[in-house]
Amino acid sequence: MKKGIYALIFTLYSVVGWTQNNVSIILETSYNTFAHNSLSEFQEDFIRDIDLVTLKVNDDYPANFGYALGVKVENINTQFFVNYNATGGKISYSDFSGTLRVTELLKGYSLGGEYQVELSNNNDQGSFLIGFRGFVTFSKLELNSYSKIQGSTSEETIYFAGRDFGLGLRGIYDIPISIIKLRLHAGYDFSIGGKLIFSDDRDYHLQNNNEKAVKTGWSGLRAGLGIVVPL
Amino acid sequence: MVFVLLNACTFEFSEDYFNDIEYTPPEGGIVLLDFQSGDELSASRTILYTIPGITNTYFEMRVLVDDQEIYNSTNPTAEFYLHIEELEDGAHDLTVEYVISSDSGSLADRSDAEYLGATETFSFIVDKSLASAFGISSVEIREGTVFVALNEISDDNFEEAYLIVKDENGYISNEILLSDLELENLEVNDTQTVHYHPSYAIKVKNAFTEQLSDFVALETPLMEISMEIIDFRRFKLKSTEHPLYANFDSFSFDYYYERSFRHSLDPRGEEIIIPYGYAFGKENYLWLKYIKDGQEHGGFGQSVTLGTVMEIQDFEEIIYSKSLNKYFVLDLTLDNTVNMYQLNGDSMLIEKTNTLFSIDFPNDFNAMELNPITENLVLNFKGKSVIFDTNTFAIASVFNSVDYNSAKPSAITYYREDYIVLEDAWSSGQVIFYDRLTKEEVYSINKTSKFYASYNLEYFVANGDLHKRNSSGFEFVTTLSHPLGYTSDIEYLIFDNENSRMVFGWYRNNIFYNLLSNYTVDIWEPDIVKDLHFTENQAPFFTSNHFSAGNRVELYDQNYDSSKRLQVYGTHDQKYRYYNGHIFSTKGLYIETNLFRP
Repeated sequence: MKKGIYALIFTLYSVVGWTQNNVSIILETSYNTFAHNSLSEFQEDFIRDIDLVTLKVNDDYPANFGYALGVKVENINTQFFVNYNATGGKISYSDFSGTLRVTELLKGYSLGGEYQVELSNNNDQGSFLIGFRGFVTFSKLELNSYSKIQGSTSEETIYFAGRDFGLGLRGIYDIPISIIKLRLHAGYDFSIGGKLIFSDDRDYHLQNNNEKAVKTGWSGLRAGLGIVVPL
Repeated sequence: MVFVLLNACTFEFSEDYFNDIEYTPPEGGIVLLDFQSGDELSASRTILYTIPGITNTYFEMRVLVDDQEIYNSTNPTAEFYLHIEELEDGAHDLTVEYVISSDSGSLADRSDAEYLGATETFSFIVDKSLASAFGISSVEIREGTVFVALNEISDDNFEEAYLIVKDENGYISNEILLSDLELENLEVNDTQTVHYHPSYAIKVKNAFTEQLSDFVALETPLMEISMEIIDFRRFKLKSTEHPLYANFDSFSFDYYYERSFRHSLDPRGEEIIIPYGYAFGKENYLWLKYIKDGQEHGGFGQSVTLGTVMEIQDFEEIIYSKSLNKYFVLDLTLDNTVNMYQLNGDSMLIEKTNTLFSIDFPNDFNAMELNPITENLVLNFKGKSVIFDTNTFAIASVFNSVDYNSAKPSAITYYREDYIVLEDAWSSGQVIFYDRLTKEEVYSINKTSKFYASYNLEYFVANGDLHKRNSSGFEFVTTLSHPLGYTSDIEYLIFDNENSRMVFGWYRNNIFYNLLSNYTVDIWEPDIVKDLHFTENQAPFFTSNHFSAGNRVELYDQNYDSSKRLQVYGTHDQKYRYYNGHIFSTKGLYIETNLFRP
């Protein structure tokens, strides 16, 4: 994963160096919804499996803010980006005697490219673009179980990793402010989840009680703001 | 830097779900049954414990006495044993430590990790001291059962009190645990004791020691059982009331004669007729078994003897003087001392006793006869004949065989009025007659079989030939021949006191012989005759031993030529005599009877 990121950064600098003045740096933030149904079911299975007390779902992979850093090469109307999303699931029970807690922190690092088509350009009021996106997402699931009963604590964290492929479509509205642009954008990403492979032994992957692979579901709406800095 | 920034913006989890349980710990604690703080213990005790209403899955407890663990358990309702043998007198602590699961429903509770613990301490006092046994004030029999009155109980420091029963031999026959009610009423009804003369005491005890009071004896009357002859085979068994008749239901006993029959007897006294025969001649015991609720409860031997037991046992001979109405008994002691007794003719009690002398061997005694003329006793021994004066009750004269023939110190010596007869003791030998006064030999004969002579030697039988004395000596009269022509020797023979008749025989053939007329009559009934004797009325009295009819005595009635009989016990170690309507056994028994025709 880290190797991939370094590779990407090297690529971005290469592109920047090669394109000279036809490059913009884009910093985007977005509010994202997800469809981690498989992980939700996995959480429900967990609740059913613990019969000591009844755990409640605290978090069910809710929508969350995400961040993206992009480089747009104007010559080819393509924006390369790296994107970060995080969400999570949590079930827990606690009373005066102790706590039972299972958290699943899910992070997604996406690398992709977006081909942008300019639909209108009004230099004063900004330009409107449609972006077609393709990306690969590296998912990382951090499954933490924690119990503390009468002062006796036990905690364990295990890691899973998956790879998802996605396509997206969005509308972009860039508004010039001084030398930078404020970007408004909204769209939809469709993602096909991959298996979550157990990090300590890649022969295993996460399954639910029906022995079906648990998969991430990053698909969802994306809407947010960004800053475009032309270089 | 950018990625550090991205990673910093991680997902924030919501707060944990918190279940706010309202929990009230259960009230009350462990309950010890039969035990309270401050209890005084004089014995170890089993203590039941429980925790009321416990629904918990987990329970663990331990019990300590003075910080020493004596018990532990995971059972919420059970018992433990408080063992005080090793504890000193005085105060001690009993501590119960226990934990139960909280049952709060919390995560820890559900994980069997949440408990309530408690420690409860109880004090108790060990007292091993014991009261003195309070004892008995009186014992009495009322309506066939025993009532024991207890002394006031001023000190009740005992665990248990027992009524101890001893039999008359001093053996403890029963221990009866006294109930609270009996201790309160100070009276105990002993419904179990059935033996005579019980003694009673009180025993108090605790786990460590016991105390016994003095015994109080109860003299009971005795039940008596007597036999009363009805006829040759039947008799009545008559019992009087047993003093403790209410303490059992009946007696059971086996009466054995020829074969065994079981009978029962009412403890209030009963008369039953037993038709299975009986015999005279020894002391008998019936083993009477107490029956209560259909079960046997021991028994005892009760003397049930036909006839009366005399004051003298196992004597040699008894003879009766009709004119004196006295009985005379010659008895040889174990050290061969010869004792003479005179018995009252009616009561059979000893009136006079005289110890005469000692002899060398028991069979030195030959016979005791009553001289029909002088009413003195003639005692014939080996080596001497003694005249015993029944008037002075002393020896009148002694005739020693060696004074007549120095070569015959152990000859059987007979006093025969004017004669002294010496007979060699062995079966073949000499019989020599001497003039009593001159001591000169007047006659002699070699015998090959038994020798018999009448009291004054008017007749004698030797070698089966009857001789009669005449003016010049002795003459042969006749040979006494077997009616069936057998040549065997005569087995027994007696002369009467009038020299008028004799009876003799060969076991199965008995002949009545009239000496005056030489007329003979066969006597048929006695069978296998062992002994023959004349009554004081000169009636022949046989003792016979028939192989199938058993032992019996028979009194022959010459007028009817028939005999009356009575079954008797063994004939080889005792003699039977019949005088004045009584049969005597030399075992020391007599019975008044007319005998019976079977």
